[in-house]
Amino acid sequence: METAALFSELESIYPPDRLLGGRAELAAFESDGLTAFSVTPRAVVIPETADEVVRTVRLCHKHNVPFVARGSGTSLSGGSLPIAEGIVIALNRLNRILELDPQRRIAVVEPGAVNLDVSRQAQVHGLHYAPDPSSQQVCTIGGNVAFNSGGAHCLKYGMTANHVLGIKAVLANGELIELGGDSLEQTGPDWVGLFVGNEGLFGVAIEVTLRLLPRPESYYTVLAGYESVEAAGDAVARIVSSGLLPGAMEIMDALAIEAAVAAVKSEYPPGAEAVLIVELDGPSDLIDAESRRLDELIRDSGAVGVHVATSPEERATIWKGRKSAFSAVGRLSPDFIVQDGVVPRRKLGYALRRIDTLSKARGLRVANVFHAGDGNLHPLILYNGRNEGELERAEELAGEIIGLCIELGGSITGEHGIGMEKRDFLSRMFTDDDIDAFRRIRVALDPKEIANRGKMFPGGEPPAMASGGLHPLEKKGVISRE
Amino acid sequence: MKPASVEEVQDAVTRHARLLPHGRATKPPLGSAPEEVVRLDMTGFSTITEYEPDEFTFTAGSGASLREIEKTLSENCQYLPFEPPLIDEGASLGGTVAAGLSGSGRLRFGGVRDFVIGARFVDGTGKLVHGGGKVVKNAAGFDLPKLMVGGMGRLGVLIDLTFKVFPAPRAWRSIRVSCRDFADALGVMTTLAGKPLDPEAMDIEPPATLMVRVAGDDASIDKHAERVGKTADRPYEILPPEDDRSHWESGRNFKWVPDGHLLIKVALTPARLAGLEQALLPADPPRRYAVAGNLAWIAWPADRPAEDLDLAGLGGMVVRGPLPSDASPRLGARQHGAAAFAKCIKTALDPQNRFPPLI
Repeated sequence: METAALFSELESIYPPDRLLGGRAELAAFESDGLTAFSVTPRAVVIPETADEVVRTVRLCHKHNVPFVARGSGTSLSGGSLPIAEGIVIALNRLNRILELDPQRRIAVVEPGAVNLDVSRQAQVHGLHYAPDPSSQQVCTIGGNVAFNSGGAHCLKYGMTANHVLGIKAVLANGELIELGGDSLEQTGPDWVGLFVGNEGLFGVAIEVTLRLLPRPESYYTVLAGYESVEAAGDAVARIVSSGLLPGAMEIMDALAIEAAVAAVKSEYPPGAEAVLIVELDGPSDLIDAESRRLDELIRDSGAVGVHVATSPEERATIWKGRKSAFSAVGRLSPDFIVQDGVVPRRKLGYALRRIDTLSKARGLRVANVFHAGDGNLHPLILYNGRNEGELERAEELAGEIIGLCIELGGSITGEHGIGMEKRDFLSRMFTDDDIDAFRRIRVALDPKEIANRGKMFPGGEPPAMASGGLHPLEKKGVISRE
Repeated sequence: MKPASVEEVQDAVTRHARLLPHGRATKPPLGSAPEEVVRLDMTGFSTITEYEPDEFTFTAGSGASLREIEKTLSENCQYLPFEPPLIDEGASLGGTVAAGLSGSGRLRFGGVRDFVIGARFVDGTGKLVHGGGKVVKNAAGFDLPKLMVGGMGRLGVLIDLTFKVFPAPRAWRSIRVSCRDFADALGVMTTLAGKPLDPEAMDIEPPATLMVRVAGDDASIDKHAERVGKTADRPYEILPPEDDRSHWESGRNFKWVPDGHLLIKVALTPARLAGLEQALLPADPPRRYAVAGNLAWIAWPADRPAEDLDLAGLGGMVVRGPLPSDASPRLGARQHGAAAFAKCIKTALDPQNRFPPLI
């Protein structure tokens, strides 16, 4: 590693205000959404053009210095945690929407473009970008691509990978590549499909072509209260097997409800131990008929209170309660860990009961807010890092929950990625031969393993623990978690 | 050779210098190889190994017949929305993934790449590799299932695949819109595609017919179909329900392709459609433009020189028809931007080139 040589060459690319090395300047980049960990990088560069990114990556390759490309740093798996001996490439200034074509229904964007800005700009054409992570107000497309981000509408619309058509990128070995294009179809291997979700281990995307969809004409959003989480889970199973395909199905448990009520003054049916939010979207004539079927299903599912949004404002209020629930739960406790496991949908009720048992055994509270439609759990483990041994217990509980997801045939991550946080669990989901194939791909594209080193693959030294708590942006209420 | 177990596939891969898997051989041109290869018949892996209707996922062997799979799904009111092509000809699940083929129905919810969620394959080193999982949402590890889409069997031998499926709509309707000419059909298609009408499929049958398919509840489908027709603002007819199904079945099984023709797939965008149509007009081969201008299917007489086929600067791939086994199925322009990436991935998974080069 030739860090000094790299820095002198970086100085020829970046003016001092875009090449940060001071302790205070670096502090803002030490952590991402996984606030329990913190690492100070050697330097941060702030490119303003794709060419600067390419030159930076080539220099890192030449001098064998690891780098982490980072957007807004909202990763919940520590995916953009810096590397102590490396640099951070901060992409927020590469935030242009280069092209938005309503005829082809595509947007071509730079990696630092903010997710929600794409939909905002597409709105005048009656279009939108479907993937909507809860952090969509600040998270960037580059980060979404690296981690194949999800959101509340994956059941019907899929994840980021389902909406990316083309990628220009600089590989960690310095090669410039162009994958896919602007068509929905292709006539060769799905290189784009492989690139999305690479967790920053292949290189840096410098231009991304996104598919846009017409904005749904009509929504039908129902909030129903239940006497137990299991009852809400059963209602989900009933709705899914009825043949309806809701855009979203979300459940919050009692602790999450309590927090949401306190934080955003949301109102929920009295006596509800769980709430289920179901949203249909589509052409208004079709939704009319489907909403009647949904009403019947909910009525027969033992709901203790049902509220149907009758205006866009009421819909927004329902979603606000849901999307702020995690940050709100976080306020109940000094520290928390968010998990992201997936279980087969029919095992949801069982998984929640087991999580409850595990939580009681460890003496830690767990709130549940999750994407019920696709079995993606987000148990939130509350702890106080100042109490001796509590963080360790919280981590053990998190590990037990992940183990439960694997045992039930699910996944260790639905949408947050492996990152730094779950790398030691990768080998519980994949065999040595599977991981060896991942590694061969990684090394072929990044022979020096400089791109986001230390992420996804098992092993390596754990980074220093930080104080934890809410992300600074969460404290301000700017972002929220899934 | 027809392996019957994963071990036999692994053994074949490690023992033979050059080999290439195939399913039910419905797309022979995609099995082309520049030199002699041992052909691995994967129809020994034809079972639906897991299907939980409540889970909306299934796992089946790569050689499994898609017709069988669709039949099983439909018994539970479920379907693969992307309408895999050539199922009447016996297309297999693995072959469809390897060929990366989706039908007209991929417009609304995505293609084969969007529905495959897990894959097991034997790579060029003989190792059994698994990627993805069995749940509908999963972000763990590199997305190897998607990598297998369009790999034409040259990155690994598919053993089995896991798919997500969707609830089948209760009713479908098709609207046949009679436009003035091709440019008009393209204009109407573009207008409809930008509106929140959620069509399942939208194809142009040159010169001037636009076919739109919608799906939904019995109670509302007729009203919705009328709405699509009225929005098109051209003369239209709504096909009787029985004709709706046969129209799209005939389409995805390419009944419209005459004997002795090559079937060519071209990926494009609506913006390039007018140029392609203009280039094809002089020769006037049978053709259809599917997926709202993202996919062209062209039938080209096998006895005519392929050089006569003008693809307007686009690239095509011969999927069916009498093509010599050593001829490349690629026609027209190639995209070179992925070459360095492709080389790395091919080398990583198949360092000794057990499988023929990517096409």
